[in-house]
Amino acid sequence: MRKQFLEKIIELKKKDLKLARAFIIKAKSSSPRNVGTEMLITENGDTFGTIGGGADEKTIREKAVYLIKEQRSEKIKLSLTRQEAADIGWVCGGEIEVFIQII
Amino acid sequence: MGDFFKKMIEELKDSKKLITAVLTEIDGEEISENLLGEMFLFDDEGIIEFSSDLLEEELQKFMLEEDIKSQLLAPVEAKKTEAELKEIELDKNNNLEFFLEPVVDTPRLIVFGAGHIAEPLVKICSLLDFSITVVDDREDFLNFERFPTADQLLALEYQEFFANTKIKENDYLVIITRGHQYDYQVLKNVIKSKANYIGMIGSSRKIKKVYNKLRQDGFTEEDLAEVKAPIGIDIASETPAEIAVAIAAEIIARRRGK
Repeated sequence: MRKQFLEKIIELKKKDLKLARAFIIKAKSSSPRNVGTEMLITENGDTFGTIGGGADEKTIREKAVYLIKEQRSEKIKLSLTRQEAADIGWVCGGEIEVFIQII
Repeated sequence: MGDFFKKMIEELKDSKKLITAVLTEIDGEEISENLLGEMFLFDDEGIIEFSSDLLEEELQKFMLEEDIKSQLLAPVEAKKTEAELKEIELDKNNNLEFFLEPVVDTPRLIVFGAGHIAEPLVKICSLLDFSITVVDDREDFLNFERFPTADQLLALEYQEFFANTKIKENDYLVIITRGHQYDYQVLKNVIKSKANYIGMIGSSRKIKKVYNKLRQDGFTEEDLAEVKAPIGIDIASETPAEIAVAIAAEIIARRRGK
C-alpha cells in the first residue's frame, strides 16, 4: 500500500465519502509486480489510481459501488484470455483475483 | 475505519517498516463473514493496531500473540518488500487468508544538477513511479518547461539544500552537476546517508580526483564503494538521452534488488 493512497483515503474520508479500495491479490502467469496494485472507488463511482484499465476495471468499479451500498467486502475473480488482455493493454492477463475492501 | 488509517500515517512518521494485513478469505463456520476486509497493522515488534475489535478478539480466541508472530511475522521479515497472500490455520476447521503488504513511501529521485542529462533523465524516471526533485543553484536552468514531469524544482546552493533536507532510505540520488567541485560537495554530504542509490557522473580521471579528496576528508574505501561511478549501466551510451537511459536502468536494477 502506498503512502499516497493513505493520504488520499484520509482526504476523502474527511468529505464523508463512502469508499472502497480494490487491489490485486493474486495474478497467475504474470509478473508479481501487479500484485498489490490498487485503486480507490467512491460511492459516486469516482476512482483514484488504476489497476489496469479497460473493461475489467469498469467491472470492478461497478462492483465496488454496489458493495459500498451493501457495506460488504468481497473477493472477485476475473479471467482474461491472452487476446482480451492484449486488447485492453492489461499487462498481466490470465486470471487475477481482486479484493474489494470497504473502508 | 478512518481512525485506523490515521493511525497508519502517524506510525509512518517514525519511518518504521509497517505491514498491513487484510482479511481476504474466511474458511470456517465460527468466524463471522462480516470480518472480511477488516485489517491490522504490524511491524517487527508485533501488532500495532486492529481496524476492528472483533477481529482482535477472534484472533486472540484462537491463538496467542506469539503464534500470530510466528505465523505472520517470520515469513514477512525474510522479504519485506513484496506483497503476499498468507493462510493462517486457526484450528482444523478454521482458516483465514490474509493479504500482507508493506506500506511504502514512493521513492524519491533527487537529481543534483539541471544540465543536459537531467532533462531526459527526469522524463524517463517520471514513467518509473518516482517522485522527482531537481536541485541546481542556477535558477535559469530550473523551470517546468524544461522539466514538465518533475515534482519539485529547487533553486538552491547545494549546501543550502542539505541544511534543510534529510536523505532517507527510500531516496535515489543522481549527481550530475556542472563541475567536479560541485559533485564533490554533493557527494561529501550524501556518502554516509541511508540513500538506496548514489550515482555520480564523470570520466575516470574526474572520479579519481573527487575520490582522492574524499579520502583526504577521512572517508573509507567502503564508503566510496557505495557510489556508482561512472554512473549508469554500460550500454555504450553517447547522447544525453542514451546516458539517461543507462542511469535509469541502473536505478531500476537497484530498486528491484538485482
